[in-house]
Amino acid sequence: MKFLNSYAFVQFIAVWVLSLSPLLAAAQPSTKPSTVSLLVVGDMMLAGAPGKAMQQGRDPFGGFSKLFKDSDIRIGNLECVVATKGSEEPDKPNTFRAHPRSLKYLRKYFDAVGLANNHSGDFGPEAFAEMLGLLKKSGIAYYGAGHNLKEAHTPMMFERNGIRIAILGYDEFQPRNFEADHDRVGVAWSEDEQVVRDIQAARKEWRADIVIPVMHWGWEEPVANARQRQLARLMIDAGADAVIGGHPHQVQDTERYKNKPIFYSLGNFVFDGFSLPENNRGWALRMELDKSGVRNWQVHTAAISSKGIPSPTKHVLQFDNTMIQSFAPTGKLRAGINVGNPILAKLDAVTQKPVGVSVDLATELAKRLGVPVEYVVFDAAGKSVEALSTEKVDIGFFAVDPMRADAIAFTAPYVLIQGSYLVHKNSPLQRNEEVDRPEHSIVVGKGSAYDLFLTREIKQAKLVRSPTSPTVVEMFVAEKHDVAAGVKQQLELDAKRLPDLRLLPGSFMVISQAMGVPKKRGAEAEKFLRTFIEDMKSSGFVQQALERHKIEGASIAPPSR
Amino acid sequence: MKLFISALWLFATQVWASPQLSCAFELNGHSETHVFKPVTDPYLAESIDIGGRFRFKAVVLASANQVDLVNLYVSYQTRRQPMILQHAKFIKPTLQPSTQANSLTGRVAVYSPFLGKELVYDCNLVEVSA
Repeated sequence: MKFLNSYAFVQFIAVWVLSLSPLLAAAQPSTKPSTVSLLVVGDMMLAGAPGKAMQQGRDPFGGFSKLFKDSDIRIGNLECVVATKGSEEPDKPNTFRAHPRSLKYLRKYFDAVGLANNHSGDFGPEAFAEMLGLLKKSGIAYYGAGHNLKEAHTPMMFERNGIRIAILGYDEFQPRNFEADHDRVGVAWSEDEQVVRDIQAARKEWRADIVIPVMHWGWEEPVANARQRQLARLMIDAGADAVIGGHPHQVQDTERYKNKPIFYSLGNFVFDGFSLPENNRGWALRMELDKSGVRNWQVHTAAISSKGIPSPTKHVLQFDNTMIQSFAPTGKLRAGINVGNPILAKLDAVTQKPVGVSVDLATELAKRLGVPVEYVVFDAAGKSVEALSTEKVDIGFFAVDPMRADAIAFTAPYVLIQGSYLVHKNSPLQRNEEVDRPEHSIVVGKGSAYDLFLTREIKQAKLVRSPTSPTVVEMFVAEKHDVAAGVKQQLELDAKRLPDLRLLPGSFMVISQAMGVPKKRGAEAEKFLRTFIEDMKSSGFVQQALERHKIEGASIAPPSR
Repeated sequence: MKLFISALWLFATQVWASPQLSCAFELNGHSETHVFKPVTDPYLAESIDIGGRFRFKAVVLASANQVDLVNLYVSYQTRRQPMILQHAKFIKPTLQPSTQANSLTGRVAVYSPFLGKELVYDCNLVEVSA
């Protein structure tokens, strides 16, 4: 009886303590959930010039050593076979076989490499089988390929900080001849039903908290195609936490689906033989994961030399849901596009849609944020400024001016535009310094950067404002004013088009054209946009956009310090 | 009683009948037939050799008494490795009542890249007693 009483007492105490445990747990200070950092780089071809660099003892990954060192798991797409055996695939235009000395560098930086790509079979099954053995011997795991089909579809599992991460790899770029079979080495091919099956098996059978399929897909284009989008969505519907792609040899757009990121292509990482700028930069993507998925990610842009060796740029973009919310609170990026300045944007004569440098920059920003873009067109800078100041749009493109800085946070300039004066051919005016006299009238676009500048600087001449910048010359001629002020390039065209007009030499001002975001969006958004524009300048994106739109009279602004 | 017999028949077909894919091949004037039974793991399905020139793989995925998916792969066997010629996918295909009925695939002819060798196949998806 005594025993029973004691037992009952112990039971009572146990139940009482257990009943308190939720309260006790709640009273504990909340601990930050465990996270794991996963670094993913794009296509790595270790033959050719990178192979020669390694032969000479140069470490192709050395520029990124700190980023590799600071990441828990490091993976990348190995776009070549590492072997001594095998023979070249007949009639294939590009075949890549790297020397096994490259394993020394892979081992130093990578936990696993992806083998599901269209170059794994370049030297046949013998070379591929040799590579599988060499990787194993070197302690480098692989995914998306194997000694047989079963292994090729088996996830590479990592466990760090109590989080189980499954990496799957698939190729779907021709030729399909190197797919594994029950009795053959080779890669995994992305058949929809098998991909779904693998993702679900990674969760159920492999008990993965996080599942990330890595794809080799698409064409060499800047934007993902319909098939990529369909498959990425299928993967996320099946349970993937993120989808990462490669093969197009350039960075493609980013997208979010069900709040999970899709990076359609990270571009090249170690690869030579490309002449276009977009092929010679890529992303090193560092994601922070917890058991619920991708918490945030950073994009480290790699500038790839003519020898195929990547160097980090100083521009690191930090993404998380807060940042995306800052730029696209309505779910899309509303970009204010001013078509009053033809250097930056104009309406296409046929489609009547806006085209130009500012349109390209807005599109690229939306691509990186993974949100759709909406172009909100204005015919004058003043209207565009007003819309951004009142948050009717999320970003804008303006001349930097202190008058606009109350509500708008500017980036450093990305292009510099000269502002010039246009006069009648028989005008006595010969130099810019002669313009500011009481007898002169100057026509300027209302609310434009020139208007703001001249309003401050002109002391004696009279300013006459036309409704928009494109109507300046029309008013100047019709009302017989003395001077028209505006974009040098536009005025030059007007001088050629209309008789009896000439430009004064030089420029009265240089306009610093920048991107802007409402100040209310916060300091992190400002920082992000500043970093973005620096990346766009240094990567050659802005220069290419100017060339693509045949813009003259604007120069690339120097890097911001 | 009729109800009982019907239920028994239904039970019997559910338990003892199972789907299988029967494929007839013709190559170089020779004919052969192969039977492919449902698998649960598509990665373990085996390819078969046809006349030393072609490889053929049929993956029949089934759950309960329903065939969910049939994948057919035809490859040409080069000295180096098989070169895939055709991949046909049948999602939730209907079982044929007999081998005399219209087949699943119809009569399909594929040709090798070298010498244009002709492989003809015709596959039936039928129910058989286990």
